Amino acid sequence: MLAVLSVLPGREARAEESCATCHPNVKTEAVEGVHAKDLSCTDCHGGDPTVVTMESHSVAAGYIGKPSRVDIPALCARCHADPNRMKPFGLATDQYAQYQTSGHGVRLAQGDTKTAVCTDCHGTHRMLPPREPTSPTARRNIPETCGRCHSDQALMGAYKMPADQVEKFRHSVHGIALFDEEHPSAPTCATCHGAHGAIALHVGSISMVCGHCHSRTREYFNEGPHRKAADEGKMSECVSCHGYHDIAHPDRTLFDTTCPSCHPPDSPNFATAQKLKTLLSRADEAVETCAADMTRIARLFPTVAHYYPRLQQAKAHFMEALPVQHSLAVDRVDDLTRSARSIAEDVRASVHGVEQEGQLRYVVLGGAWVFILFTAGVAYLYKKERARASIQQEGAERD
Amino acid sequence: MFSSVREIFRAEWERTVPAHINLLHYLGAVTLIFLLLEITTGILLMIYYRPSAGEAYYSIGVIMDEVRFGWLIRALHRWGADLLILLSFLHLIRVYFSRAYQAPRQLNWNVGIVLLIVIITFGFTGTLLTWDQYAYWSTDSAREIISGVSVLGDIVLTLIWGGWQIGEEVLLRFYAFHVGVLPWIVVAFLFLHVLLVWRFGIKEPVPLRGGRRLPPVPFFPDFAINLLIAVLITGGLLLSIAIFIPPPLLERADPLSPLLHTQPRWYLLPVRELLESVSGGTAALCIIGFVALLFLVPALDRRAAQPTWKLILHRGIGLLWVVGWVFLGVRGYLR
Amino acid sequence: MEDESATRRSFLSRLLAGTLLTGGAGVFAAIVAYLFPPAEAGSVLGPRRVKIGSPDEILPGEGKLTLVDEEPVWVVRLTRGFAAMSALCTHQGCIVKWDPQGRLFRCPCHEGQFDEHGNVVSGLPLRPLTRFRVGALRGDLFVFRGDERQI
Repeated sequence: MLAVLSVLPGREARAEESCATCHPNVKTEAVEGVHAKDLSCTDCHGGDPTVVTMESHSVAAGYIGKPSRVDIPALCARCHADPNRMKPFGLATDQYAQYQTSGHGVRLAQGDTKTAVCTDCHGTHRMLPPREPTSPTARRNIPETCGRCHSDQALMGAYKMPADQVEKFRHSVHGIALFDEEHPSAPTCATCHGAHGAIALHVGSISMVCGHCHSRTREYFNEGPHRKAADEGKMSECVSCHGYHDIAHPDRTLFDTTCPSCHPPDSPNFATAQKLKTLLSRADEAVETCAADMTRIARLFPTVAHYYPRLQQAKAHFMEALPVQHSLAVDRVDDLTRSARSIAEDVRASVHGVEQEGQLRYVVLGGAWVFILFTAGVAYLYKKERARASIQQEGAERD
Repeated sequence: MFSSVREIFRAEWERTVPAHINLLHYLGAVTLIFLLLEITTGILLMIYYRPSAGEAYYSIGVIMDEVRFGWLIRALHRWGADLLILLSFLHLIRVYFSRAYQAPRQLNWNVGIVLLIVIITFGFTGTLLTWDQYAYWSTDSAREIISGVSVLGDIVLTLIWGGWQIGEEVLLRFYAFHVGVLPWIVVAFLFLHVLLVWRFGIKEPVPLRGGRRLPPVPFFPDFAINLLIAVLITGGLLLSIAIFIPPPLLERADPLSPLLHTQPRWYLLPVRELLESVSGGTAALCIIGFVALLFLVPALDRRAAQPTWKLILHRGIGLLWVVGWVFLGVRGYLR
Repeated sequence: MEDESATRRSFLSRLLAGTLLTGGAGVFAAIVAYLFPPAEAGSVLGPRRVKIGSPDEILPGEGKLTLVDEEPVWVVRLTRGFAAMSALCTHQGCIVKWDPQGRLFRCPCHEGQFDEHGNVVSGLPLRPLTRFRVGALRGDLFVFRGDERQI
């Protein structure tokens, strides 16, 4: 093992390596990766690259073959924890230090070789940086990469850990944002758990993680009475109501399902919750019915498009109330939802006005037909009269 | 002075039409009235329409939403155009089957054919003016198909399109044709058409077997009143359609997102189907042949009295024409 | 009997003429109404300018939230001149607030942030704020609509 550490990677142009003669597939893989430019086979595996026979596997030349799992992090850290080496590439050098604090690192130090090491996530020879879409560390691929172990029932069972996190995540709001919407800010496993320093989050640390993106919501939460409850450990800031891996798009049924776990249904706190629910529901309904009406009426009377910006304003007020509700400040939520409702109802009235004006057209059509039939009738009668008169005249003339 | 004016009108007042004419004989006059309607609504639309690629679509919106009765004028113009073309076809078919193109009315038949072609060109050029996705892409696909017809295609593209790919210049050119060139042509030929009818009258229909031949009836009021009723009812139907079915308007034309598989207007479906089935030289010959045949109808059927089998052949050919054309249209639609 | 018929005929012909004249008058009235130009074409979106007040109302560095065609628009006065952009956050449509100290627009819903050009600086929004042309004309400040662009 010490021999490994003494092998200094050569920086000058290397002599043609002999490894590829017997290991051509590996060479092909390696060429595609980022290490190809600066590292050679012997830089990690040791040995004599100038000899084309088995003598290249010379222990004297530092050959270690396939490094054992326990040694891998230190092997990679030889370069990646060295600031001078990483300087030209602008890469951070804390990965190894972080790893040693992670759940994976701690277990590895205890001798567990089934836990993850660098190559499990980054690959071995075909090492691609995270910015490449096919890299196992690309954002969209991270859940799958973590899932290689963490979705393996048998493997996780030994650690008494669940194996459904990736599956749950996939169907969650964040999973949909990451996979379906391809949102560049959507979180991956690493966003919340950390990448190299990955740990299972505890009650105290979760909120700080959610609050990184949902900062306003966190601020509002901190203004409300739940802050104290969270500090006293009676609840977990975000997780108690929203869950963690399987976070669904929150809707107002949350008020009915999560509040009762702490607040009995006849308590004033539960009543506050229901009040919030009612305020938000009413505003949402007002905006939605208005939007539905507009779509319906716009088909015949496109003028209603004129009112879309105003409805958008109503929606904006409603949207603003959503983070505010976490402070449980009923009056603030009331303010915002009332604005939303009144604007939405205003628009709805105007839109119905347009519709009613439009109905007038059918009245006009009815009137037009009355006129047409009346005129046609009169004309017809006139013609008949003339015909009768001329027949009579003919008859009189014949006589 | 007034006596001479009265004299002119007395001659008109005493004008007569044959007694045995049926409803179908009114088609020509009704077509005329609706052509006048199209011209009127068209002129009204011109007041607010803006013939530029940047503003055309927006101006249609203004007409529909802001101008008083704008929606009605546009609806009448749009559906009236379809109605006008339908009436023209029916009028043509009626004239054919009653053989009213025979002497002395041969010239009128040819004038009528020209009128039909002009009216269809009106419809085609007018379609582009809304500058919505359908207008843009259906006109473009028409250009593609026309360019496949040798010689004739190039003439049409140079004359009507100005040779350009679809764009601002083509819009302006179509507009100039639609509101400038074609109206004068149609008015001139219409004048001639009506003059010839005025001069030679409606052809006496063959009386029913054994029926008594009645004397001609006066134009005023019998024909006039029947015409009034026919126009009122047809107008009422047009008004109903205009109010119940808003004229279609898709999103603004986007040169970057093609609308594939656009159907041309219904009256052009048979033509497109024909041009898609045959190509190049054959297509040109087909078109020339077809138009020539139409013009030659009076020359081919000169004698008033024909043996029955020839009359049946005449009817058969007419039926074949109509059915064939409809068949092509339906096939084009289902494609 | 002839007289009766004659009176009936003349009544009917007068009635017919009357109804036709009425109908004609109605059509004529509609056409005249059509010819009178509509008021400001406001509901159809096309190039137009909207007055939003006097330039002196807005202090340097400050902004004014105003409504242009019912849409909330921020007009801010920067060192290089006025800038106008839609106040609707491109994430979920909340109304952003101008922060004169930070020279940023902040969204109260999910802390999206936009710089003074409307570009996204942080947070969940993906698209920049829609910018409008703004300028002073004869002592009044106008926002020009109908030719929106996004950077």
